[in-house]
Amino acid sequence: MYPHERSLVNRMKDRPFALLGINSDINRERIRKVCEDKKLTWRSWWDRTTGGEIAKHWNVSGRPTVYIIDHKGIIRAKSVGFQDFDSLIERLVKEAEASTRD
Amino acid sequence: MGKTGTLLLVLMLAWLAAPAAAEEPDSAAAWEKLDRQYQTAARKFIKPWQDAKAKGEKCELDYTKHPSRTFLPRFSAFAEQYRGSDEAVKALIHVIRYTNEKEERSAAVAALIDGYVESKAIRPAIWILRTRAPDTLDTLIEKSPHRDIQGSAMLARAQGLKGTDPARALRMLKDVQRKYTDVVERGSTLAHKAEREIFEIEKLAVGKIAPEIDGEDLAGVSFKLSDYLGKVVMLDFWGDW
Repeated sequence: MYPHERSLVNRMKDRPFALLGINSDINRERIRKVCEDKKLTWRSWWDRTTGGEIAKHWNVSGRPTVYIIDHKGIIRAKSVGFQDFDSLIERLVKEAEASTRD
Repeated sequence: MGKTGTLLLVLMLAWLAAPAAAEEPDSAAAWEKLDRQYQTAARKFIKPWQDAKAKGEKCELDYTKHPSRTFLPRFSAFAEQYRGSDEAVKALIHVIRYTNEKEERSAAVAALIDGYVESKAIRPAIWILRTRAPDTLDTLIEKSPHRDIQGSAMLARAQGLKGTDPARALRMLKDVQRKYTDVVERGSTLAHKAEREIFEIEKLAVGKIAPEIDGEDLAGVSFKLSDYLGKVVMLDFWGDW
């Protein structure tokens, strides 16, 4: 998962895209170190445990769970388990770029 | 009659009452033995990987040789030998969970449903059947005499259907809330679980506005999902393990 996410984030640099995590590790210091060591530069909310408040609210039953949200805040895709959303993201980012040109 | 005499009589009666028990170990003891052997084998299998990880090295394991697979014939044989017992149910659940062979799985599912649909011991099978043989949950809902099993099976069926047939899933979840509201499953009521599922179907579906997220990042700084309006967001629920 990490290499794919890293390259996605690098590719989308300077474009209207953000990868945001909801992290469920109990030890915040350890997970900060993991992010440093593995160069995970994107931002994550810290949800404290797998049964954390955000995960509960979003009814998350397995990880990774991924949601793709467009520039208007509308859910456009979701998956439990890894799925390649690269082409959808590319299309949505183009939509976002077109909307700011109007 | 003296103390020794009474003891002898009791022993004789016990022997008369349970002649079969003397011939073979009972299902609980046999299960404990099989399960212990399985756990030991599983630990042994994973050890090279753990050792390598501790040294910072990599080690690829051939998971087709994992004991969860290699023990399949033994679990199947156990279910046959101790047919009718609660432990046979456990053995069948193992087979349904770990086999990759379609025929082996359908045979185990059939044995489970035909033989144990009314048993209380079938409850842990619900979470395995949900992904391996979801249709059979309908039989459990209909034929189990136990309310907690009916309710959990209905919730699990709805969870499996929410991606493909959300309207039907929603109807079932409302049914769970009406009929099984007080049943407790792994620490919370079915009413509460059904409510979370209904929220997901109604508010977290494709086409809906994403609910707000407001919390702290790993450094303790607060931020919100709505800060990112105008950008495409990939939300990733993750953990490092």
